Amino acid sequence: MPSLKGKDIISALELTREEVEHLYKVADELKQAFEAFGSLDIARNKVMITAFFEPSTRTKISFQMAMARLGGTVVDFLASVSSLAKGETDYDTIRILDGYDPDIIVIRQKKPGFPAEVAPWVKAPIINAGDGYNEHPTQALLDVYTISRELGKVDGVHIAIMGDLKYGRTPSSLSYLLSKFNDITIYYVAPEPLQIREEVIKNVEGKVRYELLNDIRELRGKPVDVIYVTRLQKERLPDPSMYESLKGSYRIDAALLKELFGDNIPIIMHPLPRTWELDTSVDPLPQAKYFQQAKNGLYVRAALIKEILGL
Amino acid sequence: MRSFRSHLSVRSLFLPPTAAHNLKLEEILLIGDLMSNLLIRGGNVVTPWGLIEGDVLIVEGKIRAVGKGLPAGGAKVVDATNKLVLPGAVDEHVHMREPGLLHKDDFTHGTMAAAAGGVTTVGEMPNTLPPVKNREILEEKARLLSSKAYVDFGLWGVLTRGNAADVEDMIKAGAVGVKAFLGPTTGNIPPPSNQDMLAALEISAELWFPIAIHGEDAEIVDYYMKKMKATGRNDPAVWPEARPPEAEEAAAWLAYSLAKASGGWIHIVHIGAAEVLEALAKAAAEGINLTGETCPHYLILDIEDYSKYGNAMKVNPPVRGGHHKEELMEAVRTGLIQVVASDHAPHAPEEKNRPVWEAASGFSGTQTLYPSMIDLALKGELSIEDVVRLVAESPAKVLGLWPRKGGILPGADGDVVIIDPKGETVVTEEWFRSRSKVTPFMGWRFRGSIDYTILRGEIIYEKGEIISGPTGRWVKPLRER
Repeated sequence: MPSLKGKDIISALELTREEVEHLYKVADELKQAFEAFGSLDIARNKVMITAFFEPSTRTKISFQMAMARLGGTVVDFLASVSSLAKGETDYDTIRILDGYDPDIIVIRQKKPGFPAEVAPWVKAPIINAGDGYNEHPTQALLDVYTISRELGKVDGVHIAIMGDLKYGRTPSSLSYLLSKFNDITIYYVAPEPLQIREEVIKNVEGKVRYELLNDIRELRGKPVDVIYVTRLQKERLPDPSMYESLKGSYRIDAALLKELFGDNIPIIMHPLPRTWELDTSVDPLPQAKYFQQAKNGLYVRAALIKEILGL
Repeated sequence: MRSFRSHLSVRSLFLPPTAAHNLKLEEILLIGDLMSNLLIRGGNVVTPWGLIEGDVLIVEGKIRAVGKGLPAGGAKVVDATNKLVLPGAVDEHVHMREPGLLHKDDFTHGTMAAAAGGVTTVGEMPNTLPPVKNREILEEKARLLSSKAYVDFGLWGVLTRGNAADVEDMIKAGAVGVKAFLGPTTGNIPPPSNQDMLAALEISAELWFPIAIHGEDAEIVDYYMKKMKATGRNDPAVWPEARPPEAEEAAAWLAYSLAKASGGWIHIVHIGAAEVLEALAKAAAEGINLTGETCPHYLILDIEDYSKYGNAMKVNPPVRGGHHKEELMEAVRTGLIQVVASDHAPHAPEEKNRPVWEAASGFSGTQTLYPSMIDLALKGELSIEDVVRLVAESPAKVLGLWPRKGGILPGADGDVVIIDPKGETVVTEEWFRSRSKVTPFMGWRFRGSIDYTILRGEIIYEKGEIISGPTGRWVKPLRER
């Protein structure tokens, strides 16, 4: 039986298929347990610290809810106001937090590789909740969980990942996690300057089939099970005037889905929050899974915490 | 499931708290200015993940930890055993009359009323004098109110004829949204045309903020007002007939169409008619950005109450009672209507004590918002989690202040209300902090009493007394879509 007890979760590349599948079973069980009992008490006297050095509401709340539902104590390290932060580097801060013997530290930091750099110095298991453009492994875990529970399988899936693939941390982690499964096809749909990073391709090369596309319309006629939309921020574009012309190629609405896929609309996912790239007209479609996806974050993160704590 | 059945046999809620944490935990929890720390111990805490029995630790004004058996260290401890620990209410809809309308009330008394009623953040409407129609006036109002606020406040701007460019400016300067007065109102602000609405809604689609509308069609109201006046009736119960539910229905469908065409967000405030629900349901089913707010008086008062309270319950839209009341209650339960706010609208006594056709509409409500809703929960008509969602979490989301405001969770502002569910709130003139003492709820007894209101970790109201100075701040939205 695979065990994640005491392990750091830094990169989706480090997870094995067995670990992931076991985690999903635990997530299913916890989902049932939460529905039946509300909160549990299995993490009593365990402490999780959330150390978010850049603002994020949804991910942090999702982790906090997961720990609280397990019955543990949730402590927030407030980078902006705490006296700890005065004149201290973020590296030192994490080491000092670790000195208080928490059971888990969840870190978000904008420097790519930050969690990996501090991990060797820290006793507590670390969960990477996003390091700049690099990775967001727990997001990938809940994404693949959603795919597997919605489609009943992961092997053989065709997925289009679109948006800002260059600076987005979810497309890379999602690609890495999918590469642990068999017979996966990924269409990377992005404007040229924001296409998927070279290093991501290197990491999945030979493990998945992939195509690079520049317009969502190129998906017409291809088998697509999932469209994974990510944010496309105006500020990321090298030339702001590109924005208007891109709107047509990267904006998903109900009419466009109907036009491209007719009655076979793929399931639509998005890590949220969204901006203009995913229109609310998609929300009522039965294929819109992003709210369920967000909800799944609670079960998957609770499962991860439970496994890391060895409960 | 089998693997942890043993843990599940007893819900954590029923387990006694333990204090098995080690000293190291104490150290990390209590970093900061020890004088200002506050531990709320052993209450039934309503968090966004449900009701838990446990402790809330506030350090430097922010909630640092939620859990069981948290160490106190040097913190001030408030015992909340057998009490309800709720987030402070976010009353998204108040008219506190300052500047310019000080004969009605003022911000000092309005926010003291809020504090005494468990409201820790208010959304102040823009129909003061001058109306808040541009950035300069918004910032001037913020400066003026900052020295008088007993609770935190967000500011609404106004959408009026031809000021769409100013709307963008105000949002960027920190307005929580804009209000469109589609009919006559206090301050006589010219109503925006559909073109003005669409221009502002396109900005809303881009920057993501609510455009709040008073949902009554002005022409339908005018027609029936004249017609009912001509009948010679003078009893307060004529009011719902002079402003029929169809006026709300027409405005709701127009709002639906404008939101659909533009992709922007319309928030219909103070919904009093069941007819509006159909538009909200259709919008929800189609992913159109139309949301709604109602008020306690529409959920609690009924048509026969006009004979008891007269013009004290005169308000726009009118209280209709009957099936409207029942359907609105169902809509707040299911979330079809997202928010319950007070529409706090104090007037001078001489403005209320006039014949029905001339009497001012609206009454002071922010202090009775939480008590009246908690009463519904303690009577079993809503769950306490519903009340928190309707009065704290959802309005904080509308104002763009979630999760800083509206929820008890680590990282949020330490805005907390402690309720004794066995106590009682008696609405008296003495308890009432607004200078305007007119409310249909005068003399009412609500189940549950507010023991403490806590703003950013500081107790501002304790068992009947305001015990802080005006420490409220202007809060600006930080929105994620």
